[in-house]
Amino acid sequence: MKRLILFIAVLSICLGASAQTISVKASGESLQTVIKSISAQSDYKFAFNSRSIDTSVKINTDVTSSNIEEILNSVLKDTGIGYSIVGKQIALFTKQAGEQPLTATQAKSRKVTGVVTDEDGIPLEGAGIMIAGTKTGTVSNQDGHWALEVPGGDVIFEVSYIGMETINIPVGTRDNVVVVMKPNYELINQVVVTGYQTLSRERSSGSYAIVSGAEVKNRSAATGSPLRSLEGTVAGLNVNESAEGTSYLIRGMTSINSKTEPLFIVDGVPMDRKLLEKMVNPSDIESVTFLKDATAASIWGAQAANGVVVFSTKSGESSKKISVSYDGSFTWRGLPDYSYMDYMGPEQFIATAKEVFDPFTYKWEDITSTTYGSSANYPIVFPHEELLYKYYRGEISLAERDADLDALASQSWRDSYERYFMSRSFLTNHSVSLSGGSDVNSFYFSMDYQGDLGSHRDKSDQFKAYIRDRMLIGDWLTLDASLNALYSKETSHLSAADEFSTYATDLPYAAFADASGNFYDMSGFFLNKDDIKSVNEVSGIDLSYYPVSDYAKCTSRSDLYAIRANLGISIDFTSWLTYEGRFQYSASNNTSESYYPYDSFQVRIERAYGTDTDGTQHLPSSGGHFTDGHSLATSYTIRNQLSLNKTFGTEHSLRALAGMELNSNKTGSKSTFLRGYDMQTMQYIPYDQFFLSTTGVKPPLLPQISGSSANVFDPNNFTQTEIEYRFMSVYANAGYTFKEKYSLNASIRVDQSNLFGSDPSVQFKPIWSAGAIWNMHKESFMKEINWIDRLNIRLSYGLAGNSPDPGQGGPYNLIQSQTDPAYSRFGLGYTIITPANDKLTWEKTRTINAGVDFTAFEGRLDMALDVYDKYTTNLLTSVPVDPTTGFTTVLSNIGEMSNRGFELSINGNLVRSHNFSWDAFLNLTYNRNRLEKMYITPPGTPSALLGYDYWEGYPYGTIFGYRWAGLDPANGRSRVYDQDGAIVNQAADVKDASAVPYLGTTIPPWFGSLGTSLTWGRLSLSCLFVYNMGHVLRNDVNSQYTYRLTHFLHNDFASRWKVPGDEAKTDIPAYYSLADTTVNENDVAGLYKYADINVLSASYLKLREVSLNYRLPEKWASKIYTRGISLGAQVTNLMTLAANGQGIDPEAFSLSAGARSERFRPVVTFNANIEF
Amino acid sequence: MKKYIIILFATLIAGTSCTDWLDVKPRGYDIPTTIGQYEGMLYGMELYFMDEVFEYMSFEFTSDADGYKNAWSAMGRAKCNAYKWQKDVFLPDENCGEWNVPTSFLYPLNVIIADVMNAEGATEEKKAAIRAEARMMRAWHHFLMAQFFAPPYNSAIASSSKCIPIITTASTVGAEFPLKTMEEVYDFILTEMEESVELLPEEAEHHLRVFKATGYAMLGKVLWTMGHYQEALPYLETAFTSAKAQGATLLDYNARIKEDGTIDLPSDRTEHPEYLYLMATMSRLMPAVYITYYNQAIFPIKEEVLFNYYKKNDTRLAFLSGVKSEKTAYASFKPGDQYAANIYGMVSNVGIGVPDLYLMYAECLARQKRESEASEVLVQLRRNRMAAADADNIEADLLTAIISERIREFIGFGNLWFDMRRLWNDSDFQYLKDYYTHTDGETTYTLTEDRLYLEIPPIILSWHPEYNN
Repeated sequence: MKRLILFIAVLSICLGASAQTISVKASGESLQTVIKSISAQSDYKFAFNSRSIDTSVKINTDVTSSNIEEILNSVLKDTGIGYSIVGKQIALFTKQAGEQPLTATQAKSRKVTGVVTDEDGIPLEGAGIMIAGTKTGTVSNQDGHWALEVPGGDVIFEVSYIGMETINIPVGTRDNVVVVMKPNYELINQVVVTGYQTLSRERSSGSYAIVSGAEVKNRSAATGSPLRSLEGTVAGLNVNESAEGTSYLIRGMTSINSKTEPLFIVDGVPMDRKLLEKMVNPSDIESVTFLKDATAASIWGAQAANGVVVFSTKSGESSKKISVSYDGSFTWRGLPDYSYMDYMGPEQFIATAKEVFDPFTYKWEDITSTTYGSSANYPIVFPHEELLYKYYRGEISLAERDADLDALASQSWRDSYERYFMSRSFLTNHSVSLSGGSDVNSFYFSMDYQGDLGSHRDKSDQFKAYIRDRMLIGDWLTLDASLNALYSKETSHLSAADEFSTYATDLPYAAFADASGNFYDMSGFFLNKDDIKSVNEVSGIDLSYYPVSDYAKCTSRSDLYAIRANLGISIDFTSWLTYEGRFQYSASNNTSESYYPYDSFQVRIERAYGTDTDGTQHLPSSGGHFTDGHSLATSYTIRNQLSLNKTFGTEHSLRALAGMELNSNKTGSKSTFLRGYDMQTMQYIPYDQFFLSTTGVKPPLLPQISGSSANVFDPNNFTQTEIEYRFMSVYANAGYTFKEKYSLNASIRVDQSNLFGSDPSVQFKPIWSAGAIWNMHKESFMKEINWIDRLNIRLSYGLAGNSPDPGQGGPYNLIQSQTDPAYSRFGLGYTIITPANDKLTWEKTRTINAGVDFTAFEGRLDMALDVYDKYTTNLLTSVPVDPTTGFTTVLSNIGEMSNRGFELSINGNLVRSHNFSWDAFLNLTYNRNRLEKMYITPPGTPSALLGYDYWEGYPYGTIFGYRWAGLDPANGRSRVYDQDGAIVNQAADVKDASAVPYLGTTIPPWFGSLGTSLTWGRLSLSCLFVYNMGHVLRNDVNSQYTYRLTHFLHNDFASRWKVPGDEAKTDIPAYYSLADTTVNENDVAGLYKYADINVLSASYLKLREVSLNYRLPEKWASKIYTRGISLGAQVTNLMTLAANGQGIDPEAFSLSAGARSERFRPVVTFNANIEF
Repeated sequence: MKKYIIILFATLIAGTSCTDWLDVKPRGYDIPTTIGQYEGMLYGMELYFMDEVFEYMSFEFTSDADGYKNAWSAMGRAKCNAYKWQKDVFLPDENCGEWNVPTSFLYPLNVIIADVMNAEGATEEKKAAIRAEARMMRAWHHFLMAQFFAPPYNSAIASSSKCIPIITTASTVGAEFPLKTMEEVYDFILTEMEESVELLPEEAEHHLRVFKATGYAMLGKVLWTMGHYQEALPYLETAFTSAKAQGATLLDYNARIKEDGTIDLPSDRTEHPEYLYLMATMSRLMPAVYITYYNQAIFPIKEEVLFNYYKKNDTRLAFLSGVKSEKTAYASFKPGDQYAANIYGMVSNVGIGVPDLYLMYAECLARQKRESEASEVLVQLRRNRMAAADADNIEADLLTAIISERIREFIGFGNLWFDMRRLWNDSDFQYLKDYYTHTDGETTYTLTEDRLYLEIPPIILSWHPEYNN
């Protein structure tokens, strides 16, 4: 919070060159402009309370003098504003009518000294200290100290500082006064940053929300991300932490397949979200502005349909003294909570395996046959099955079988996995920032380190540096330049082998080592034992497999370098016309190397595939698999704009800008794969790729696909991709204000892109917006109601767009080349990758917004209510089309979608005393999304509906479900009602869409946050709750009801139907034999999974964060040569209240797929802030 | 003054944006303009028929109760429905390759036909040849669809019977594809082929490209399928001589049979001399892959067919394997071994190969009573398939001998389905109908004339309610 205040202070307390003679010529310019001019010409600084001093007051004067008093007298005549000068500081105050001012010399009685600091104990320079009711006053120096002669008796000091609440302190008989100032929230909110301009909130009709940099910084200690910490801060923003869907949504989904995330802007230029998250240090953020409606966002044109989030970074302060600040944090995440996954443990799994063992259907001869098989199922018999078959064949006794099974059950795959493959995760962050400056130059510099240890022994180290410099060159030219640099290094471990996606086997008892730590050979879990043996006999290749040692050997490393350079130039032609130019270039280069050494299982098994039955090996005889990847992104933006800011007479003011912008964004990647590569010598061994990709290894010793007659190896060892977006835009906007009460805004923008080629017929048409705001509290009839500080009424209308990706569609058939060994001799082959569609147009979203801003009781109650209606036409998405056309899906403009709702945010300061304060806030958003119309209606068969996430007449994220009719009492099979209400047990019998009713959406219509904070002296405690309500999820249920038990099983399977009568107790279907042709997976697992009984409420309330902060007494801090020290602790996700009743945390879940995902226990963070 | 110099400079920077700045083409994609790209689109068309059902309607397959159950769980409902010649083969939203694969070819072919004459960098002759090739292929895919979804050609009903749509526009939006009558469809196919065939190149570089010999063979095959043997004959004759001249010849299996009873075929299909225009189909692999996975053939070949038609030394038996013996039928030829198509050798194909050309040509010659020529062609084929002494010894009735040879050549591949359609009303071959039964081990299903084609699948009907079957 403090940083922001200082920033605003810098804006007001302007810089000046040392020149003795000051000249002011003003004819209707605002006081603010004049102050700026005086400051620029001298080294005087101004301090005033911007609540009582109206800096927009118009000045008419023409004076040149070397005497500052002469200048001020001339400037301030007829304004009702008085001044006092102490040293080089000038304090402004409002003169009381008829009052006879005392001068400091007249009322000399005693000297009172004091210090002014902010809440964190940081001295405030330039605070105005006035004796109430007089014009006697002074200004604090750079250490916050001040001294003032006061007349005898009790006086009241009125202490003011820009951005802070003005306070009155009765001095009594004290000679020394310590003044602690609190931020004035209302004032902070008065400026909105759109990325193109900084506007007075009072004059802008858009729907904005502003989050201070300090808030982002405090919350990001736990998340490490500037974006995640925005959750819960503003109404209308939905942060989705679940395993599927868009992470950040503003006011709902406006698109199905195009971009649904908002546009992220940093210092006036769009930035990719992922890069932003890595590159921008949360400590460097000055403020974040959300542009939610059309007038706010449409200035960003065709990319702004989903709202815009504008980040401003910090600039230096011209304090002449360099201030240094350190922030550090440590976050403990530990291991994921595996019990949440709800899988059977080893004992229960083996008990269940005994129950369903079926040697008649799965005959030993069949499951061990090595001649053929399917690719997914090598003929493998797992240890628990082997014992069951042995007993069945009479090779071992029941006691022996059970003893061996118990031994298996005593081992835990998970314990072993956590021990050998996982690490307790933590995050640490350290950043140091410096800022300072002189009259003509100010800078801000920061460096940051972030270390992250993931849960799978993956590590990342990130180093960031940021520098920003502002230069005043003459009184008409300002330059600002900033540079970010990022280096990050990540190391991780690779999965075992291409076919075996992870090191994890799929059986709960499959530990990697015995109790004394001797590793097991796990090859039998992946390959047939006879195959392993014969490969070894013929080729000498050892296919034994020790996952733990492979895990250590097979590593991947990636290095990311990124820079961003941003240069701004501002030229004042006249006092009302300014040219602003901005240029930004950013580039990132990510290189990654992954390596499987020669002795890894991946390389050994591939060598086995590359061996003939006679033992001839075709793959390199040494060296491993090496993948070298590069991904590159460059972007640049060039912007030129003219802005006008002029007041006509006393009542009309106009603010306008017009500009043009070029924006290019290019991303690309390259990847090279080499076999036989040696990391040390950096050489690889050549081999015959053409042969291996055409004829192949024939006949193979170990077929890649069981039963195939030749093993063929993909020849594509080099791949490259590239996408470039270019936009050329022309834009203008204007705001007119009458009597400071009524403002009108309008904007227009034309975007042209390279996406569809430059054919004008497919380019986006101009978009525009208009809005009005009424500052009702400034009306004379409102003067009576003095408890209302602010009452603004806003209304806006406008359009924004959404463009498709290049190559996705357009008026031309797009072809892509393909190489195939079968015709590589003849040249390139081409396929039509995207069919021509000249009807395709951009998505367009129309937004109507009405809002009220209300502040009362001296800022103690602050409310904003917005009601909006967004309507998107020409939704772009891939939809099924008539296969007769030659394509089964194409990108089309498929329909229209609406988002209607309201946002309410209330901030209340419930208790405010000098030592204690209690604040509370509530953000509430309701968004009703609906796919209003579909231009193309795909077939609405029941099984298709279960898979679609959108359907006409329903919100996006649709969940349809069968109507459950209970289990069949005869055999425990799933049954549902068909369209006629008859009970059926086959999915094929459910023929009509009416049999699968709509059950809800996975996107929450109600969401928001609430929180409270208590400050008691130096201690503060805050908590933040987030909630999402009104949406649904599919329950996580068991999916396997047949076949051998070769995978993890869901706990539910234990409660399945076993004997007639169970249907009264359970809905979980019975196990059945795969040989039964009257039933299949769709009919049992499918009907159950997709039944209405398994659609549950996804609503939840989470205690996202509890945080405690303590500011050390300044006395202590100064003893160790610091200006202030704060310590804090936070706990995130301490408590979850979820409505599903199944222990599902909707944030660790795929709502539509109905599957749990990794969940961590509450996370603890400790952080410290030190100011030097 | 300095101020204005800088302002001027800034304005210059602002004004330097080029008008063609937006015309950058996304890399990795292209809009077809050159002849190389149009020609490359013909190479890019290597698509497989995957997971299709028509092969299972061929008569030579059988099953028992266990085998059928395994087939059902391994391959799914649609293939088993097709095997049982049911009316409703597909579920409401099941995709149907018989419809989707040919139509997916027609889109790029229509693009080539419409635009290739504007291509850059080629002579008019070259462009005309590419266009002719695309038209030939387009007609061929219409012909295939007509075999899958309409009754066999019959001039008596041709003008009234609904057949398939004729697809000549490349469009995914707004195009309509009304069903045309059998007469309209076959007229279209024949006209397109006749207009194109002379413009085709003499020589093909690749088996998916259509050269003159292939073009004539296609034209001949269409007419032959229609039962217009006399009209087919000259085309097949031209194809026969022309193909030979271009090196499309028979592969001598006798020289390639190995001791273990398997056959060594060129694995690179570009080197296989028997290819003319063939699209691979993967379906046949399905029963093959599952043979011993279930330790029994799920759709084995009927023993009565196998033992009636083959002699032990027929090298083509290498393409069948016995489940019990785990050997090919060439190595072990005994009842009870459950022979089914194996995965050695080639995948089965829909199209025209050299053996098919020989047999069609021989059949047309025989039907025109040019019997000595016919038997000479037949014997040439047989000499590449078995020992010469056996090869020369053919059945007395030449026409029957040729059809029997077709059965031997194509058994287990599913291609015999097309002969079953063609010969349904041929009085000479009514005896074949004795074989036209399938069983699931419990019930026996007999093929009827109205099941000689697939109903248009429900997923297509959902887009085209007007295509009511």
